Amino acid sequence: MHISEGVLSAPVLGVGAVLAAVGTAVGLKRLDYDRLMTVAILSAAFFVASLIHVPIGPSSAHLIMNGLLGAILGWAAFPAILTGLLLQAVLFQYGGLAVLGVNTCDMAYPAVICFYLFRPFLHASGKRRAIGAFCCGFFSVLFSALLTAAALEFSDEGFFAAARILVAAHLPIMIAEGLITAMVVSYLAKTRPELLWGEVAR
Amino acid sequence: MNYAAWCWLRTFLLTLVVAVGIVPEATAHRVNLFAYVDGGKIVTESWFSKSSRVRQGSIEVFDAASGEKLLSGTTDDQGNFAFDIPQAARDKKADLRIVLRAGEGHGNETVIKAQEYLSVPATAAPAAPEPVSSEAPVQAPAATPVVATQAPAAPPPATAPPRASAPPVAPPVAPPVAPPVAPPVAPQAAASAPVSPDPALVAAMDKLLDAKLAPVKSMLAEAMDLAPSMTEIIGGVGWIFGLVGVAAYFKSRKG
Repeated sequence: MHISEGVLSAPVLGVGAVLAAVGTAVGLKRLDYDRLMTVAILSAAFFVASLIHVPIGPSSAHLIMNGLLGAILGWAAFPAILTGLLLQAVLFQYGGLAVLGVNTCDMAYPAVICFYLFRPFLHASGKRRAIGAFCCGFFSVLFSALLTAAALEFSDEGFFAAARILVAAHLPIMIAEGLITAMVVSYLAKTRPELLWGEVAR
Repeated sequence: MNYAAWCWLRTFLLTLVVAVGIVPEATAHRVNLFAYVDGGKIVTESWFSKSSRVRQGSIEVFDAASGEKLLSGTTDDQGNFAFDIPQAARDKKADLRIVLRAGEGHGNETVIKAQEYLSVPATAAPAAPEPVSSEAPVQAPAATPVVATQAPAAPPPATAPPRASAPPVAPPVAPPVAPPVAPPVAPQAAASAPVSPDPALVAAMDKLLDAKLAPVKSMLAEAMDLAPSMTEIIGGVGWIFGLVGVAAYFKSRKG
């Protein structure tokens, strides 16, 4: 989730920056440069996805797509998400530059975690793959919400209060993303199966 | 480009067009904060979008130079919170840094410079001119404290340059033109306006000003509520492909 500038304290920002740097370094190291086009397209999809709002009651939340990025890119989701967030911060002032590290962490680590968690499902076929992809999308957003709440805990909001609100607000998003990830993964499995075997970032 | 890559590109561009088309009211992620001087008070408005105001958001006011916290409050259901300019700030001629926290990691801040509020003397009128009529119910209770606190304390002599001749504490010497919008307008208006002691005239002028200035205020608020434009979106996507292209170029030279 995009945390705004000036909300988090300096230690949290520092830790976030370091963890994001580590993740990005791993992502770049493992990246197969023949697959750069895939990374570019998914990074652009992530960039645009935040503009798609799903109205939920009085407010609205936006799509994140980190599940999809994790499923296809694996560790390469880190540079993809970092680039997307950087451009969002610079062009639309979504999030911010100081908080870029924390925002990258709370969106990219869930992507990578879900990539590893659901990898066996993604390599299967038919229904299992679709379910695995749905879970990848669903749980990526859930873990993102929890990590965001954890980051906010170190400022003035309590963890459980923030977590409850964030998870509740993003429940429709989780379902929507699960469905989108399932659809895209199924389509890719038929047309470009090699993309799903984690070949983009071994 | 080979067929597969073309399929990818085509799908992606289609999705992009559809996605941007779907966004009718692109609710901004950042929370917006707008603060202006209104007589002896500062009014703050907080909103995510025109239809989504910040309810029960926390507003804190700091001395911009020293960082000392002066006061805090909560926004009402319209996203508004107004406060009297603390005497301590007037004495120090401090710039005021107003910080909004709207929950879930949303926040914003703005600074009101000392010269913006110092040149508009505190009004002693019981009903301070309200910028938007919908704020009146909320402001009415706040207006009486304005009378109570401002009447006994005459504004510091050094800080009321153009109005030194007219004792501001005398009943209703309301600032003849008290613009609720764009604080920079205040100094010029205050310097050129006549002093009118007739309460009926003042009330009538207040009403007229509210009516005339309301559309200007909403135009200003709308101008601040910018959703990402097509230009920025396409620019961002272009940057992504550009960066990746540069990376690919350098990688290909090595290999």
